[in-house]
Amino acid sequence: MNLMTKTLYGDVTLIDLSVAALLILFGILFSKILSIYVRRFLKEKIAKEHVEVIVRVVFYAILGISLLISLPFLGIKLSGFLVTGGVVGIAIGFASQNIVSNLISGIFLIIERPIKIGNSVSIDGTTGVVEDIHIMSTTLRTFEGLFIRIPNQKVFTSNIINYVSNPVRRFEYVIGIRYSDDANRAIELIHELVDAQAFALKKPEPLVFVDQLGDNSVNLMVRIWAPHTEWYALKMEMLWKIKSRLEEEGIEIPFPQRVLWQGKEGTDKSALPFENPILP
Amino acid sequence: MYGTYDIPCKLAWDALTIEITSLSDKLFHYRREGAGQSIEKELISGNCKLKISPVEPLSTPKFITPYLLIEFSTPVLIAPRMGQELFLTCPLDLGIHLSTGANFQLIDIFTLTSSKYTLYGDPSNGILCKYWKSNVFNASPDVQIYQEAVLNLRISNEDTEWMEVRQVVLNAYGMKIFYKDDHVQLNAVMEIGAGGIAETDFENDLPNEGLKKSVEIFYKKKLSLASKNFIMEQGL
Repeated sequence: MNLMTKTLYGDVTLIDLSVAALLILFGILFSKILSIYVRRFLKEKIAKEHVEVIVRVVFYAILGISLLISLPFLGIKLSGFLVTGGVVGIAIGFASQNIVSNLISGIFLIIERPIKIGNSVSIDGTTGVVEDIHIMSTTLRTFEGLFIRIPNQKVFTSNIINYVSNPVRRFEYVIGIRYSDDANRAIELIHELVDAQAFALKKPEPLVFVDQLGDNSVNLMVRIWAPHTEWYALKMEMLWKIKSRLEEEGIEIPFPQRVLWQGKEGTDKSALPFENPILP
Repeated sequence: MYGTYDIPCKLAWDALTIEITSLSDKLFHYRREGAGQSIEKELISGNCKLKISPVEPLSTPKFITPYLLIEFSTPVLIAPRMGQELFLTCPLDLGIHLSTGANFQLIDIFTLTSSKYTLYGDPSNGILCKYWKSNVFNASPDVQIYQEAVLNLRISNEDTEWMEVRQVVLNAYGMKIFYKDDHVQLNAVMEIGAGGIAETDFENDLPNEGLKKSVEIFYKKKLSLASKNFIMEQGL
């Protein structure tokens, strides 16, 4: 009998043993190569310690799969594991549902990269600066200085607003002036102020226009684009400057007001702004 | 005003005053009035000199971009396979350095021009640039040398179509500024290729005798992070 086909134990021959060994060797080799590629792919994207965790998970997952594939060649029937494995798998599955979900969401967040460390973001209504993106969770520092940990599953499935993803950002004001004021002059003054501001961008062009004839005022819309780094400071600075400059020129921002006319017999109807059907 | 001065010293130009007074052997007081600011600093240093030179126009009012966009007051139409030397103006910052031999330490930076920023491209993918508008000249124009430099731009159209150029975007890393008492100059090239995509870059060679190279503050800081040229692919 050929040595290679000679049964060593059970039905396992030397060929089976060699195939199993080759499979495991291939698994080790493949997992090592894949680990190198994963490490290279994630190197620039996430923190080093997180890269190592992912690399280790990938390495052992591939190794585990290659071991499972090689088991039948070693005479160990996988069917025996099916029932036990199935029950244990279901139990572990239920227990680790959130953990796995967070882990997978974390991996997708790292790949998709809708947010980066240092970005100002709003995640599911929570606004702050991204402090760190871990495998299981993302941490924010709110503008009030609070630390908030959000599970990655929630981050991944929520609406994310990234305030600094684009290089520029627009803000707007509604400035009400009196009906008796010169709206064209007001627009001209606001344009002068905007043009004098370094961070109020030349392009996209700032817009100032009459937006609405309101109940108490003519409403001017002011739309200004600014670098996202300077947006908030400029927004805070500009409004008061506009108000002060308009007032210097005698253009006032009116308070809400209502003119009441009291009808009385014998009143001079010509004093009314419209024909009053109540008066005789 | 450009040049190297022994300290203590006092320099005045228009509404600008720069002064270094000696408080002791190694302690000096620096004061600048003008350009919309009043700056004071205490300096601890040994034997050194004050150097005033034009520097890259990127630090004032705040460094937020290394790119400079110069809009032409009139568009320039270029025939296929044609090139021309044009003269533009370019804003300047003024750098105050303390020099000890070959080493320079920037202690103050300001500008006498008004600053403005703009976006080259669209709000999603655009590039933030310092903005400047210039007339187009066919010879070197007279400029206020403490506010503007002359930008000598060699523009060429390598495409087979006519091109209309309204602006040039330059990467100010590696910007070489050459100056003398009454002249400040930069040299750049703009090559327009197929599809209206242009490449711009500054030239390093000293243009002529009598000019000297200015201190490059961005070259010293961050050269390794950025390439020098710029590809204009969002419109000319």
